[in-house]
Amino acid sequence: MKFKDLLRFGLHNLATRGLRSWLTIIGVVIGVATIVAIVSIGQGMQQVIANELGALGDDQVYVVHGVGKVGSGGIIGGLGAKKPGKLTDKDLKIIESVEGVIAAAPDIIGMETVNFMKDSNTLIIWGTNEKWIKVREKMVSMEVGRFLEKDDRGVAVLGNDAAKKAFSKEVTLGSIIRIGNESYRVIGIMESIGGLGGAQEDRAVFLSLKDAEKYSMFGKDSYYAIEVKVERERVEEIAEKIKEKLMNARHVTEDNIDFFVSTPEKIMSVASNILSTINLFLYGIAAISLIVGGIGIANTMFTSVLERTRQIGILKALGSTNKDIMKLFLVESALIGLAGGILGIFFGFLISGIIGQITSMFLKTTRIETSMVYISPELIIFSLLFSVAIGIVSGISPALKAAKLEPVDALRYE
Amino acid sequence: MSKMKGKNKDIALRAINLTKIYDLDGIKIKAIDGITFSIPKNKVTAITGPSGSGKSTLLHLMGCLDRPTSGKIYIGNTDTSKLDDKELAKIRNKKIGFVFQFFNLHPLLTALENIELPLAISDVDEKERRERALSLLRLVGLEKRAFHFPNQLSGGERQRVAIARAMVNSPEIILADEPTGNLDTRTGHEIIKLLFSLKNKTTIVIVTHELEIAKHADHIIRLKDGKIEYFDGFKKHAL
Repeated sequence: MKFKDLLRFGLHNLATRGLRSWLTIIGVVIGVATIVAIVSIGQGMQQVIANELGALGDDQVYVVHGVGKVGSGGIIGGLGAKKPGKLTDKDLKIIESVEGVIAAAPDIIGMETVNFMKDSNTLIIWGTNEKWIKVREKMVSMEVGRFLEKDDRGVAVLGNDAAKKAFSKEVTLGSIIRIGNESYRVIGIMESIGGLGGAQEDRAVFLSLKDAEKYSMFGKDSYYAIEVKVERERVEEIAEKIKEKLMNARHVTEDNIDFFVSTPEKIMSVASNILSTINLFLYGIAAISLIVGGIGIANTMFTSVLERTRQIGILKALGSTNKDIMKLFLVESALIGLAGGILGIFFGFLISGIIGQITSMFLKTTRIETSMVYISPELIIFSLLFSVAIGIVSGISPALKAAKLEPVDALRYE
Repeated sequence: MSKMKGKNKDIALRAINLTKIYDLDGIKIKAIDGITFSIPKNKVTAITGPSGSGKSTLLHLMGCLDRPTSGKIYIGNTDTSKLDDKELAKIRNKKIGFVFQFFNLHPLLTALENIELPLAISDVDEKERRERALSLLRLVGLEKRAFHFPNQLSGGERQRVAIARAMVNSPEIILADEPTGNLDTRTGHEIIKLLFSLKNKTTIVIVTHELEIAKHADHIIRLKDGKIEYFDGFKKHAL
């Protein structure tokens, strides 16, 4: 029998069993949609992270102090250091002395109630020096005014949200904001950063180190981190040198290291590892639902063989070979797989698109041009082939049963 | 030898010492018991006998739908006992046409598609299939019913479609199993007339318990308990 005729027969038979065919197809759709959604979100997330890190700077090294408790210092500090430690001016000077370092800016981080006119809001207080804008040049630019300069005191630079959204009235250049009893004149407002890494900066009030130290969450005598801009071609090498010099100066080894040196590559690999673990777990769930879908196909096909035993008898009486009958049933189960695959891909992308949209809104990704969802042709092709394969594999046993029927027995079947 | 060859030329089917034993849960039932006969070409042969005499079993064996326990069946000069499943399927497709009591049309196909089915199985191209099927639909007087599904046809019409389907591959022999068994007398009569009219084109074997049909056949094989009770020249006695 020609393939075209087999296809026509298969479609005919599936259409005849309408509801049952659809229910079987839905079983496959759930499995394929889950896989497609997971993979496309996973791939999209990886791209977003890569872009974010690229935007942060592929020439940046972060030195983060060891924190007392995991959590207060974030993932990077918590994962990297073996014991608590402080970062001071001495460490900043050591870092600046490393060959290949272009600029280094320390960070002091705090959270305080900031008053503007009669309004108040809790904002991030971010103390740093004039070099910060150079270290972050790829990510940060000024909307109006200027960034902090050396020896600035009593002045503040505001993140875009801090200036425009934090208070009922917009903070403008020259406005006075108050933190506790201190007043600060606003000398600059930054462009909105947005994105995964930008939300904090947008909601921050930048002060000089001297002004900010009284608000530090990690004590007056310690920086939270030191951000370092290095020569792009040698990021990893320079990061290693910084680590080595700091370890020597602080008399620590790998076993009792009290700080952590992070590079974009390291952050990427940590993020990828976390994503991979989550993905692996979700793949497991998807695989189970696909197996259930496959069992559904086999069940439908077995029922179909029983129902159509007489038809099989007719076909055999008219000269169909065992192979013809086998092919007929395999084409049908493959069609179920294919239909499940096509719909699964559609719904998978729809689900991932919705999740992507929600996540984007949540993260305020004004700067992220990459979609959170990545639709790769390979994923489409793989999903289609995979679902057809599931259909065929599930159909083999029922098809064999149909093919092996003796024509005379099949014709007698009531 | 040449005498044999000359004889075989007029023979459509030969059964030699044919036996079929069914094993039902250890109980052996001899449905066909060592029978030998020939079916002459371009004639109508009726196989008669009471219920359980082995008529249908014999038809299934002759149609290569079932294999004998022992003995041989020749279709033309082909010894079917030596053929594998695939070759038997080919014989059924090319050399045999079936007409069943319950029509056995494919319910999802139109009358025209049902007739085309044996041609589709043997990979005949679509244009030729359609032409041959249409000409047979005309022959059985159903050209206006070409695109009707079996459930939209009357019993007599369904059997006409089945006869057209049996004819479509120009078989050497048509095996009809109680072709009027599910029809009223008048329709049954028309179907028999149609079948008898085909004998100049092919060989017809009709399994029937209706004496009226057997009476008009050229030859009769009467079975009883799986054995031939009467054959051919004993037509009058057989009836």
